[in-house]
Amino acid sequence: MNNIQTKKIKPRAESRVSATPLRVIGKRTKRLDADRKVTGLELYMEDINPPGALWGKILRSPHAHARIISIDTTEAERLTGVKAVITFRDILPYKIGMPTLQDQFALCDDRARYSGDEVAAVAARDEGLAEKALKLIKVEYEILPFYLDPLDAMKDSAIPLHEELGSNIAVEKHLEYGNTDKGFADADHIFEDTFETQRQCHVCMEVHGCVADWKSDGTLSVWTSTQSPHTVKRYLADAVGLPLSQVRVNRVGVGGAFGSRTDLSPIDVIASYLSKKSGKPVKLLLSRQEEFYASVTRHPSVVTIKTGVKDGKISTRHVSAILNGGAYTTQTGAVLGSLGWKGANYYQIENYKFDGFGVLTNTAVAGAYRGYGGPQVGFALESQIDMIADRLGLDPVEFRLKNANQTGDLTIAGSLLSACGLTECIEKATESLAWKEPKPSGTGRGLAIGFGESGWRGAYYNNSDVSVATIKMNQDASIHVSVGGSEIGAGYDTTMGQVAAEALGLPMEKVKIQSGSTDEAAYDTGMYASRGAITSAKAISLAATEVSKQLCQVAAKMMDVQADALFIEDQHIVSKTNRNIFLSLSEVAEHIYDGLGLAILGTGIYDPLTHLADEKGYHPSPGGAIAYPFCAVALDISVNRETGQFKIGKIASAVDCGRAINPTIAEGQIEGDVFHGLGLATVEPGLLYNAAGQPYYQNLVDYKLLTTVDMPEMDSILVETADPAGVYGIKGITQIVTSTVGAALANALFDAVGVRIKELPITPEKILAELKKQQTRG
Amino acid sequence: MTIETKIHEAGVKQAIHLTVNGDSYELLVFSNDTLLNVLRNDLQLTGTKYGCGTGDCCACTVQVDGQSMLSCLSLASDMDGASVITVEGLMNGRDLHPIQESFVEHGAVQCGFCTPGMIMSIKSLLEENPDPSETEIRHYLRGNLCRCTGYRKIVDAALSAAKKLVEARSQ
Repeated sequence: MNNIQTKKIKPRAESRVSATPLRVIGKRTKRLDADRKVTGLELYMEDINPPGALWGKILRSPHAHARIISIDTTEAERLTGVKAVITFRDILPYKIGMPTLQDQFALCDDRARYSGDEVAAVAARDEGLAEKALKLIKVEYEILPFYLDPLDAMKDSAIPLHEELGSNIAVEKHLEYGNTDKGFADADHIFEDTFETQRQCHVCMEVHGCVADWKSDGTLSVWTSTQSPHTVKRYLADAVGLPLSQVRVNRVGVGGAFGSRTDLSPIDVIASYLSKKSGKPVKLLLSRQEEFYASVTRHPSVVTIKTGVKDGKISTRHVSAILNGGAYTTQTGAVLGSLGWKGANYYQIENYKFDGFGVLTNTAVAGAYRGYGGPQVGFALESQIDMIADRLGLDPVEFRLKNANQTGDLTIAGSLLSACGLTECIEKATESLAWKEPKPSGTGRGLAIGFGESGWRGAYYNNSDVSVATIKMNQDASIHVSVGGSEIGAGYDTTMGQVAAEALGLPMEKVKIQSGSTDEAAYDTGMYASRGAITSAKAISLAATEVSKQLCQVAAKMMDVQADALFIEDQHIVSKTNRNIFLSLSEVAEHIYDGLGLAILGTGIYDPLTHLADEKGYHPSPGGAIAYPFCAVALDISVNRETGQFKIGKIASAVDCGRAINPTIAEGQIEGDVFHGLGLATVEPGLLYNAAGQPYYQNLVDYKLLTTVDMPEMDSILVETADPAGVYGIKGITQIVTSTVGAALANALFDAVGVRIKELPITPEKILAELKKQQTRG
Repeated sequence: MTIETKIHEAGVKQAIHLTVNGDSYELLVFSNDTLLNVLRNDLQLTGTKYGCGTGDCCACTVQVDGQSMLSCLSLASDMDGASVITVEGLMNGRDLHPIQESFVEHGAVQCGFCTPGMIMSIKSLLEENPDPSETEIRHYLRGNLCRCTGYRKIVDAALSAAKKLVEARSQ
């Protein structure tokens, strides 16, 4: 990894959108799930009520850190209507987490590690009884010292949260490309700055939960709103000791995910065991309060960036990061790795070093959250770019353009940028803000760029990133497409339907998507790393090629031509040499079923390990992404110097999406991305703890979300570069802008009033304090 | 379903008459049953969503006697004789209501969880103010939280629905 040299290589395909007419891709097709959702017919977890279902509730530790001396459940069990009470003694000692480091039991063993940790659970006839039963469980705790700040938890004197780890530094990541010592020695200027971000909560409109039905025949069926049905199934089967074939994750509507529903949750395991013990289906939904303090959050961060500039270009960077992982490791290693890796890829640089520490503290578990390390490193990197430009008297836009990646570049981290529309993104975003026009006084403009991943090799299992698709074609040439991701709101079903329709020359009306249900849907590791648009789309395209071959072989005989002389277009199989020779797809399909006694079925298995290398002649970077989206975010603000209050006029986000499968859905992703990024940058305080280690914020008023009146004008600009890494040039874009808004705002604020805020969120109080300092300095 | 504990032993049921989406129901409800619980659990009208139980997200918005109301904060026992419209009551046969249609056309739906509440709020808005400006729409919807869309396409859908309804009336 250390030997990879930066070099230019020739792009493998045309870098602009080709002239090939696409019939379905690129169209603002109606969402397949829209009718169900606007009529209230979509079923979410809370709408699933198996006959005889009990209510589940979790008893949580009130203490930040405590040894559990004893748990007495006898009184709770005696309460009429209570059907099951479970503790650690009732479950297999299986630890949840990503395969690299699994350290969380679904119910605490002898230690509670944060205020909210799962200690016991009950299932009762109704919710009220379940709550009453919780109060009857007696737990004897021995209070232990607790750590809210990673800097305290990292000290040698700190008690390890997990004895087997020996330390609260759960993961360290160190990278070095090139030679940073030499780079800094040779640099004309060196800058070092430290930035912080808060513990943002996902705040899905639907709370987390699970409905589990462990039947007497030994099968377990769960309805859990998840991004990764097959991954949940796999780990849940391990956690409860059942064969994979006996565990079924059912499709349900997912009421917002944003990373929080990536993994198997302790709730899934607890609901399953409650169902096993009671012999009844169990419905367990968190309250809105629990949702805040006991579901996963974003990692709070402290990021220090040291940058060396030589001849007006960034030559060397050293990024150090401390992430607060909360009480259990889960995704911390991967988020840390992603943060460090992203930092290397923002610009063309010669030397890069990363030192990262993922630290466990007695706080809620930090997990995957839209941006995945990007918002933390993006805020730091892109704030510092403006600070450097200011100190060197350079124009921040020109400085970025001079250092920007281009199509065909290989970054210092070994990422081959098969298409990069970054320059165009910067141009379009700044144009949208009329950047060159003079700005009114008291106002400012800010720009930041973003780098992201689409697809991620090795997120769960070694280096794999598998998506599978099967396509069954019916006699009338309509198709059933089975894919293993889930519709979490990002438009997976619709966009995957468009890919299948495009590949087989069909209208959307003839496409049915089956996703989200593990028994019916093809295998897939899940919806994370903006991967559906790249890996599922590839799998569909491979399956469609199979189907197309089957059709063309039969059609060739029917038409007495060679199979390779045929192609599929607009529901017909047509001769390449004479367009007057054709058959309709349904004629051929019907003949295959009724005339030949055969069926039409195509399977596509896509994994970057097996496919990227031979298809494109190159390998993606080790452990890296499959494709790379880019963005530029520009915004303008006006600031009230008396109050520190500010108002954002417009946010323009230009995103290199390769090719937009559905522009409406792509814009929707960008706008949602702005919402999460702007919330992080402004009003969302994050989950905070009092001195006793107990969480504040218990409802949606205290935890402020941006509302319709708070949101500025948004311009969502799609920059299409036809990325050869993706089928039809597509790459995923669902989280890149979230990583970028914070720095754009900080930069605009500096432009307006000369105040630099290095800690998110940026609040009027912080601005006012800095303005006062500015006045004192005179 | 609600944050406040339902202690059935302590509750006394009372009979109410409720009209929901034009259908008449005689129901026995506990004094602390919310309208949301009755709609979702007793009538299986699960289109109305439980988002927070404390009136902070407006996912549970319905209309009661033509007025916009948060069903998670409304006691069913206070609703005797009331007429309730939920998202399930908007379609005309197989045709979507113009607000629903606009949501579909403008891509205003992502995860869909806030959608029923949004649509019901917009219905009330357009009955009170048939031709609202964008600012008026944003002001009216400020309590309806959405974590997916950034609201832009929802506001677009509301503007478009207003136009559709005005046109439909003038025909």
